[in-house]
Amino acid sequence: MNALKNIDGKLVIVGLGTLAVFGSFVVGVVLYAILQGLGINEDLAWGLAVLMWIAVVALGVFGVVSFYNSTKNRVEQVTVIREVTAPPARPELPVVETEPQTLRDKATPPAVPSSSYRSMLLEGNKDDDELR
Amino acid sequence: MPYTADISRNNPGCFLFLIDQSGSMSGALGGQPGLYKSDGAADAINRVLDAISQRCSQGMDIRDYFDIGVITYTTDEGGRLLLESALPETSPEQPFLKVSEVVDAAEVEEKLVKESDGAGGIVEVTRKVPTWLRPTAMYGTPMCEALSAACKALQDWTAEHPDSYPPMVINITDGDATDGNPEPVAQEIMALETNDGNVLIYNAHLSEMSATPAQYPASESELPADEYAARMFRMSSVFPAPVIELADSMGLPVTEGSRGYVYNADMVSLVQFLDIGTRAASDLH
Repeated sequence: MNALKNIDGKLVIVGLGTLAVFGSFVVGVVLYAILQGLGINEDLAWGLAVLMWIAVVALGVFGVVSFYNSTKNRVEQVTVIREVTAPPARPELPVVETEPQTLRDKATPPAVPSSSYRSMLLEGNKDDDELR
Repeated sequence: MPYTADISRNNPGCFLFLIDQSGSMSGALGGQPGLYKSDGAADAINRVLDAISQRCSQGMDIRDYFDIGVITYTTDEGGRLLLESALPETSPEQPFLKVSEVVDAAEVEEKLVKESDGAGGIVEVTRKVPTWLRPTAMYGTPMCEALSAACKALQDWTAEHPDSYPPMVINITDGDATDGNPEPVAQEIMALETNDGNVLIYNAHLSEMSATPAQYPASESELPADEYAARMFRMSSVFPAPVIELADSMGLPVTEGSRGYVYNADMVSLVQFLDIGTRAASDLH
C-alpha cells in the first residue's frame, strides 16, 4: 500500500490516457472488422471506425482532464475549509476555583482587607507626587 | 473672632455623625424611586469619611487632624434602645477615633458607579470604595438618647481640647423622635464650647412628608408645614461667617443667619450639606 501511495498521480493519469487512446484504437479496429463482416461498404466502415476512434479518444481525454480538475479542486476546497474552520489557538487560562454565589454574597459585596484603603490612599498620593 | 482656629495635630477638629436607622428611613430619598433614605445616609457618610481621609493624607502619611465618631440610633421590636458606635473599638460614650484609625477601619468594596465617559454619555464602571457604614432601617427613633450620648462624649472632648476648632455634630434623621422632645438636649450640646466657639449641630431632615425641599433657611417662615421641621430648625446652629463665605463661593443658597439645616434633601443636596459641614474646618496645619 505504501508503494502505491508513493506513485505520482500525474503519471497515473498520463498512463491511463495513453491506454484509453490505444484502447479506443483497438475498439475502432474491432468495429471496422464487425462492419466489414456485416458486408457494409469498406470505405464507409473505415470512416465510421475512424470517427468512432476519434470520438472515444476525445471523450477519454475530456474525461481524464475533467477527473483531474475535479480532484484538484476538491483537494483545494478541503484545505481552505480546514483553514477557515480550524479553531484559533487559545492561551492557557489560569484555573480559578470559585464557590457558588449565594443570595447573601450578592447582598453584601466581598470586602477587601481593611489595610487596602490605607494603601489605596497612600498609593494615590505617591502618583500625585510623581506627577508633580 | 470665633471659628477661625487652625486645625493641627496638636489641636485637632472633631466630627460626630449621628445616623437615624429607624424604620421610616426605608422610605424613598428625595422622591427618587429605588433609592432609600437609609442607603442615601450610609452612602453620604461613607463619601464624607473618604473625603476627610483624603484631605488628611499627605505624602505617605495620614495626619490626625480630626477625631471622628459615628453613632447610629434605633430600637428593637420591643422599643428597647439600640445605640451603637459604627467605628471599631469605640462605644457611644467614647465614639471617637483618630483619622488614621478611621482609615484602617474601612472595608473596601467594589461598587458599580455611573461616570461621564468624556463624550457626553454616562457609563457604569466598577470602583473600589471604602465603607464604614451599611444601611439599616428598623423600628423607633430614639433621637433624645442619641443626642444625650453625643452630649456626654462632646463634654469630654471639649474639656480635652479647649483650644480646638469647635466640634461639629451632623445628624441625619427623619425628624420624628419617638423618645420625647430632643430640642433641650440639642440646646445643651450647642452650649458646649471650646475657646474658638460653641459646638455646631447641623441637621439633615429626611421627612416622611412630600413637602418642598428647603436648604439652609434663615427663619422658620421659610420652612414647609411640617410639625417637626420647625423643631429641627431650632435644633440647628446658625452657620458661622467662614461657613457662609464657603457656601456662598460654592453657589449655595445661603444668607446671613442661614442655619445648618436641610429639609427633604435629595442625594446631591445631602452630599453638599455634609461637604459644607466638614470642609468649613479645612484650614489644616
